[in-house]
Amino acid sequence: MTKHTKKSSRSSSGKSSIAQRVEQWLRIAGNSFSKARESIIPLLQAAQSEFGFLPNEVMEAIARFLRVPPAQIQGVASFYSQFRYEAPGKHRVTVCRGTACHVRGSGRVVDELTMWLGIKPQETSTDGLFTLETVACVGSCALAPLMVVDGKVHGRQTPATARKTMEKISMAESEANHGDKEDAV
Amino acid sequence: MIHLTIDRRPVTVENVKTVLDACREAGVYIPTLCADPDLAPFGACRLCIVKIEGLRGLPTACTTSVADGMKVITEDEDIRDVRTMTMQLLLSDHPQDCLTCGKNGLCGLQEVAEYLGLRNRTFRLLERKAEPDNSNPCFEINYAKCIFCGKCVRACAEINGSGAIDFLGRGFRTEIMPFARLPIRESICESCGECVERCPTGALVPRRFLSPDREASTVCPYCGVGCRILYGVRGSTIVSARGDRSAPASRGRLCVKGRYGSFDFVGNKERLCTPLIREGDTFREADWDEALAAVAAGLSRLRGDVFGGLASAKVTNEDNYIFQKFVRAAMGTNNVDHCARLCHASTVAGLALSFGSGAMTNPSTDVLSADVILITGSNTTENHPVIGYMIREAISRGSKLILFDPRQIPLARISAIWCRQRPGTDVAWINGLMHVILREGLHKKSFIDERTEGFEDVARIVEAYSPERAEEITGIPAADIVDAARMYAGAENASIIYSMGITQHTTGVDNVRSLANLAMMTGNIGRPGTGVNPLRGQNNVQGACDMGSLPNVISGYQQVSDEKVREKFEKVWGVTIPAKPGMTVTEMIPAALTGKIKALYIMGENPMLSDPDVHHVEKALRALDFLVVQDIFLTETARLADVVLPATSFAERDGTYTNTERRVQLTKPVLPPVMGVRQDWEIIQDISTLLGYPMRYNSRRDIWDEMRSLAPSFAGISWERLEAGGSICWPCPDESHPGTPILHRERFTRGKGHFAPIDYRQADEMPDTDYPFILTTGRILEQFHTGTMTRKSEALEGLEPECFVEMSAADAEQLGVMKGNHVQVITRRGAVRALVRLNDRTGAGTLFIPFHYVEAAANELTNAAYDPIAKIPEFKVCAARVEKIESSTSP
Ligand code: SF4
Ligand code: SF4
Ligand code: SF4
Ligand code: FES
Ligand code: FES
Repeated sequence: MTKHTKKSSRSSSGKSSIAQRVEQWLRIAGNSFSKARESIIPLLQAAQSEFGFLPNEVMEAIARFLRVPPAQIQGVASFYSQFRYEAPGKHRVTVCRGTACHVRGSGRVVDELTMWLGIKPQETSTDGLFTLETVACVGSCALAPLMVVDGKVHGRQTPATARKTMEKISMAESEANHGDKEDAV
Repeated sequence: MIHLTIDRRPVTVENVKTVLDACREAGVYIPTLCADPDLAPFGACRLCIVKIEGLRGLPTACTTSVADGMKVITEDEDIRDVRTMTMQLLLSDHPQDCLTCGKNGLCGLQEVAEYLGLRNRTFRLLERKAEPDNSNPCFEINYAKCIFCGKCVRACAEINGSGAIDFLGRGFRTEIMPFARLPIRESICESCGECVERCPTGALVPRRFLSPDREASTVCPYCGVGCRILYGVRGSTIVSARGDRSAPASRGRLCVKGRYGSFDFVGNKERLCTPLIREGDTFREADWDEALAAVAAGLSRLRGDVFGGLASAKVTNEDNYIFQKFVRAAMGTNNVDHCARLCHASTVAGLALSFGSGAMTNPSTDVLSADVILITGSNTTENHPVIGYMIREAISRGSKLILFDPRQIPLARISAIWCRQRPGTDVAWINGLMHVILREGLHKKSFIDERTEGFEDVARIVEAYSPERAEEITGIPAADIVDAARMYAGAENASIIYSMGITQHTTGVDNVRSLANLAMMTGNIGRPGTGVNPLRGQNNVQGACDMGSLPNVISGYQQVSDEKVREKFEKVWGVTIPAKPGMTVTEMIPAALTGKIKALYIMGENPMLSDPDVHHVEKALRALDFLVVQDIFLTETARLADVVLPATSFAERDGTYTNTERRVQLTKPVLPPVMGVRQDWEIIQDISTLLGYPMRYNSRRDIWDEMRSLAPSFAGISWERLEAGGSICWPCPDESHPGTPILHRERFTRGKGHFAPIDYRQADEMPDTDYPFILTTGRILEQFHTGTMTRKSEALEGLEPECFVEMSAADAEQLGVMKGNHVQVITRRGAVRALVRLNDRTGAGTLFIPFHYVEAAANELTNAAYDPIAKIPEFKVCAARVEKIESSTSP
C-alpha cells in the first residue's frame, strides 16, 4: 500500500516554471483589470481559479502589476477564507464537522483519514494525490455523517467505509500510473 | 477657529481635524493606543472613546471630525467602564514581564493602565504563541506583546512607504508579518525603525536601548537630506536617537543609518585624542603646542602654489569658510577643493552654466506636488532614504515615476516606466526624449522664447537622435523613449531628480546640461513640483561648496578671477588673493607625483578610499614633502601624514550645515568634546596665526558673520534667525527676506536659461575582450562613504558586513559561480575580492560594487579619467573581468 506523508514544501520545486506560468497568465489576464487597489480581490480570485491556489509567485506578480507591496496583497488575501495557499491534491476529501455529523461520529472518520492519509485536515499529501478538509454542515444532515470526495457525496460514513473509498482511489491511481509508464516505453 | 466645549468648559482651537486633536490642543488628556499625529486615523483600539452631545454611543475621538459647537465629555463612569473592559481584554493575553521589557517606562499600555488606575486583571492570562524574530541587528520583534494597534503597519506604509509588513489573517489569529512569512531581514524591510519608534508595546524594541537623561537635536552626519536627529545622552555617551519632528527637511523621519548607526563612532575607543607627529615609520604622541608648531614649521617652507588644501563636506560651513580663507590668505594659493569634486562637480559646473546656480532648484518636499517625477542615476531609497520616502508618498498619492537606471533598483517596481540604459549613454537618451518632444510639438514655446537662449542649437542637434538611434546607443527600446517623453512633457509639473549616476562620468557636465535642456524645453523650472534637482551626498557638501572650498570661487560662488570680487575680500582679509584659479583634488593628487604639489592639508577627508585608482593616490601622498591630516580617526589617509591633528565629531560642535535643498540649519553640541581634541576652526586659526596671518575669531558665529558680510546670498541668514528655530534656504539677501526654496521663479540666476547643444560621447573605457564587463560603483543603504563612521556601528556592520559584487544570473552561470561564492573583480588598475550577489538588479554584462569597504576598496578598480570641465572622475563606468576564486567555499 502506498504510504502518504505530509508534504513539506512543494512550492520550492519547479519554482522558476511556476513564476513563468504566472507571468504568462498575468500578461493576458492583466488586461481586463485596472491597475488599482480595487483589483486586488478580483485578481486574486482569477488567479485562484487559474492555478487552483495562490502560490507566493502569484501574490508577488499581482503586487508588481498593481505596484503594491506584496505583504499587502498577502494581507488582503488572508482576510478571506476563500483563498488557499497550497496546491490542492488531485482528490479533495471533505468531511463534515457540523453538529449532526459530529454527533454521529464524524470525528472518528476524520481520525481514520488522518491516519490513513498521513496528513492533518487542511493539508495535502506529499504525492499531491489527496487534500483533506473539514467543513461545517454541508446541509444534508439526514445522511450524517458525511464525506464529499471530488464533489460526490458519500453518506452514513464509518471509519471503515471512508477508508475503503480511499483505497479504491489509490488503487486506481497506481494502476493508471503503471499504464502511463508502459505507454511511454 | 472652532469653538466647542470639552468637559463643560468652553475652548477655542485652530488647525485641527479630529476631536482628539482638539482635546490635545486644549490640553485635555485622552488615552490612545493606535493614534499617531503622523498617521491616518485608524480607530482600532477604542480607548479614545468620548461622549458627544447629539451622537449616539461612544464615538472614537481619533476618527470623529471636530465641528463648531460640539459638546464633548472625555471621561465619566460609562466611558471609564468601557475603557477598563477594553484594557482588560488587551491585558488578557499580554505577558507580564514589565520590569524586564524593552519598553518599560515608555509603554503605551502601562500609561493607559496607570491612567485608568487598573489594580488587577479580571481575565485569566492566556498565552499567545508567537516566535520572536531576531533576524535584524537593529531591533527585536516579539509579537507575543503585540496589541494590533497597526501603528507599525501604517508607519511602514505611510511614512517609509515600502509596506514591508501587514496584518495577516483576522480575528484572534491575526499576526503581523512580512511577505511569505520571511524573517524581517530577508524581506524588503529597510530597517528604518519607523515602526519601532511608534510601537506602543514591547513587540518592537531597539536591540540596544538605555534611557537617556537629556536629549539634544543636531543634523545627521551622513547624507545630504539633512535630517535632524534628537540624540539621547546619558552621562557623556549617546544612547539613543529618534527623529526630530519639528525639522522641516525631514519631519521626524530617519533611515537606518541615522537612527541606528550615527552615534556609535562618537564614543569609539579608536577616536584620536592627542596630536601625533611622525617619527620614521611610526607616530609619537605630542601636545598641541608642539604639534601646531610642527605644522607651522612644515608649511612655512611650502607656501604658494606648491601647497594644496582639502576641505571637508562633513564639517560646518564656518570650518569650511575659515579653511578656504586660510588656504587663500595665509598660504597664498587657490588650491583648495574637497570631495564634492568626486560627486557633484559636474552639477556645480553644469547647472551654473545652464541656469546660473549649481544647486537643487526646488526643496525636497516639492516632489509631493509633482505630477511626474523623472529620476535618473539616483538610487534614492537607498542613498537619500528620507527623500525616497517622499517619492513613495508622492507615488501613492498619484504622481507618476519615470526611472532611467542601469540597475533594477527598488524604485523600479513602483515606476510607471523603467528604462535600463547602458551605463555611460545618458546624453543619448536625454536627446532622444527631446527629439520626440519637438517632433510631437510638446515643448513650451512661450517659456523657451521668454526665458531662455540657444534653443535652436539644441533643436538642431537632437534631430539626429531619433528614438531608434537612441535605442541603438542606449539599449532602451525606442517605444519606451517615446512613452517617457510624452509622459514627462505632458505633465502639468514635472520634477527631475538625479545623483551620482549622472555626474560621475567623463561626460558628467554634458549629462547635467542635457537634463537642464530637457527641463527648460518643457518649461519645468521655477514652479513648485518642477526643477532639476541634484541630490547631494554628504550632510554638508552643499555648504562646503557654498563657502568656497573650491579652487575657482570664493564664498557664495564669487569668481576668484574677478577683480572686483578679489578687491572686496582683500579689503576685509587684508591680503592679496591670487587671481589664478587653483587646482582640483583630481589635479592635486597627480601633481604630488610630479612635485608640483609638495604639501597637502587634509581636513576630515579620506581620499585613500574615496578617490579613483587608490594605488595611485597612495603613491602620490607618499611623495609629498609634508602632509597634515585633521580627522577624528586615524584613517587610511592619516596613517601617511607627518602630523595628525585630532578634531571634534559632529556631535561635539555647534555651527551650521546646508543640506541638499540649500537649507541652512544651525546645530548645538550634543556632548562636550572628548578630552584632548579641538574644534576644527580653532586649529586652523592657531596655525594661521603661527604662520603670520593672525585670525582672532571668538566663535563660529563670528566666522559666519564675516562670511555673510561678504557673500550676498547669505547676507540675510543671521545667527539670531537660525537660533530662533528657523532654517533658511539661500539665497537670502537681507534679514527680512524669507529665503528662496524655489530658484529661478521669474528669471534665471544668470538672466536667461542657456540651452547647450550636446552630442553623445562614449565613456572613457569601454568593455573589450580582455575586460568584457562594465563595472559601476555606488553606495548601499546600510553603509556610508568610506565606512569610517558606519563601520563602527554594530547594527550597520551587522546588516552589511562584507563587500559584494552584483551580477546577473546569466553572467554568473556563464562564469560558473554561485551566490555566496567569492570572486576576484579585476580591472586594468587592480583587483578586489567580493561575495557574489544575484538579485536581478544588474543587467547582463554589468557589475556593481559598493565602495565602502577598505579591505576590498572598489576604488582600486575605478578609472581616474575625468570630465574635461568639472574634473570629476568616471566612477560609474570602467571595464572589468571576473575570476572565480577556486578554493571558494560557501558563505
Ligand atoms: S523598519 Fe522600516 S521598512 Fe522595516 S518594517 Fe519597520 S517601518 Fe517598515
Ligand atoms: S507590533 Fe507594536 S505597533 Fe505593531 S501592531 Fe503590534 S503593538 Fe502595534
Ligand atoms: S543618512 Fe540621510 S536620510 Fe538617513 S537619517 Fe541621515 S540625513 Fe536622513
Ligand atoms: S452536520 Fe454534517 S451535513 Fe449538516
Ligand atoms: S486612538 Fe482612537 S481608536 Fe485607538
